[in-house]
Amino acid sequence: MNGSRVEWAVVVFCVWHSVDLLTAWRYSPLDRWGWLAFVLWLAPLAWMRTGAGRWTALAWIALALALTSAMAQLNVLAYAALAVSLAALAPWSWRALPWLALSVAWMPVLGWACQSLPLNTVTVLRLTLAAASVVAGWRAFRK
Amino acid sequence: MAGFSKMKTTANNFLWIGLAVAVVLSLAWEFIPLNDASARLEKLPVQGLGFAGRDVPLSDTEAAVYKPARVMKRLYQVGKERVVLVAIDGSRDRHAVHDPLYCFHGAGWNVVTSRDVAVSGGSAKLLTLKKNDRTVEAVFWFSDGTERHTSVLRYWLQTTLRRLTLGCSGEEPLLVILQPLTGTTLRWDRLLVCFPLLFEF
Repeated sequence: MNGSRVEWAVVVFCVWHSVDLLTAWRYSPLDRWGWLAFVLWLAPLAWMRTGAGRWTALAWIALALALTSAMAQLNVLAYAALAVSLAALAPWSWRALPWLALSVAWMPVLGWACQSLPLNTVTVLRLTLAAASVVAGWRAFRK
Repeated sequence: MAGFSKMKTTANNFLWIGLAVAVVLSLAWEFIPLNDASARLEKLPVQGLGFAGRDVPLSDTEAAVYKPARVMKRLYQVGKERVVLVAIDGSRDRHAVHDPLYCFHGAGWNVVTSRDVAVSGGSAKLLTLKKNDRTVEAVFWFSDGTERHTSVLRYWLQTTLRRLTLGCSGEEPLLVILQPLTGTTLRWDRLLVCFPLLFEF
């Protein structure tokens, strides 16, 4: 897998601050299949090119977001930090931006924004965005 | 190549330092006390002219959801109306305060009607909720002791600024929710007249 030790340490720091995700995925009806969306979103990292090309600035952005989330007690920043920290492990190009943006598929903010829709519709939307992220990630990271 | 490698090592070293600072700061922030809204919660009298109340213990589920936030749950009799008031102070744990609409939707309630009602210091939101064949009303607002509003985005902004400035930006907004104990509707006009102290804290 790509990433230096410090970049992985930043991922661990972001995971620590994103622990509430597990509660949201488990107990919130609007976020029930978020864990599956997360697995799908992660999948493109499995076939990314190894080697140089990672952008350290992403790790710094992730760190800043995670620290701000801790100080402000605002989970949405922690989840954004987690997404950016994972993006920092991959060789970066702007083609990866759609994949990064589609990380919203696994975040509770999607359930919140779509709360007026029926629960099943939210689930379908979530998994559709996650499937789109697989395609976006494949286009960005394929060897 | 050796130069690039040295640059990369230097960049990583800076990132290690940044990470160490972030870890220390995020741990330290947990221990910096933030003034809570206990004094404001205690300002709401239990009994008075036209109303009488008693504190109600939280259910096990409520206690698990809200801890360690400070929650006041009180049953009030206002004239012939019996209402349950829940006021949540998220000073100790902001995550305990959720968007009420999000919680109602998540619990299976559909919002049939939603309208803002004018109250002292701003507005509250009066909801009609439906689940299966049950219809009930509920009203909620956020209050910092001076202004009352119904915007969860504004609440998040207020509380974020408050935490980033260690409380200097203002008072902690409370989330206040009222629901009828029996029956389905709230005589909102009656509450406004008989229980104005609801909008003083």
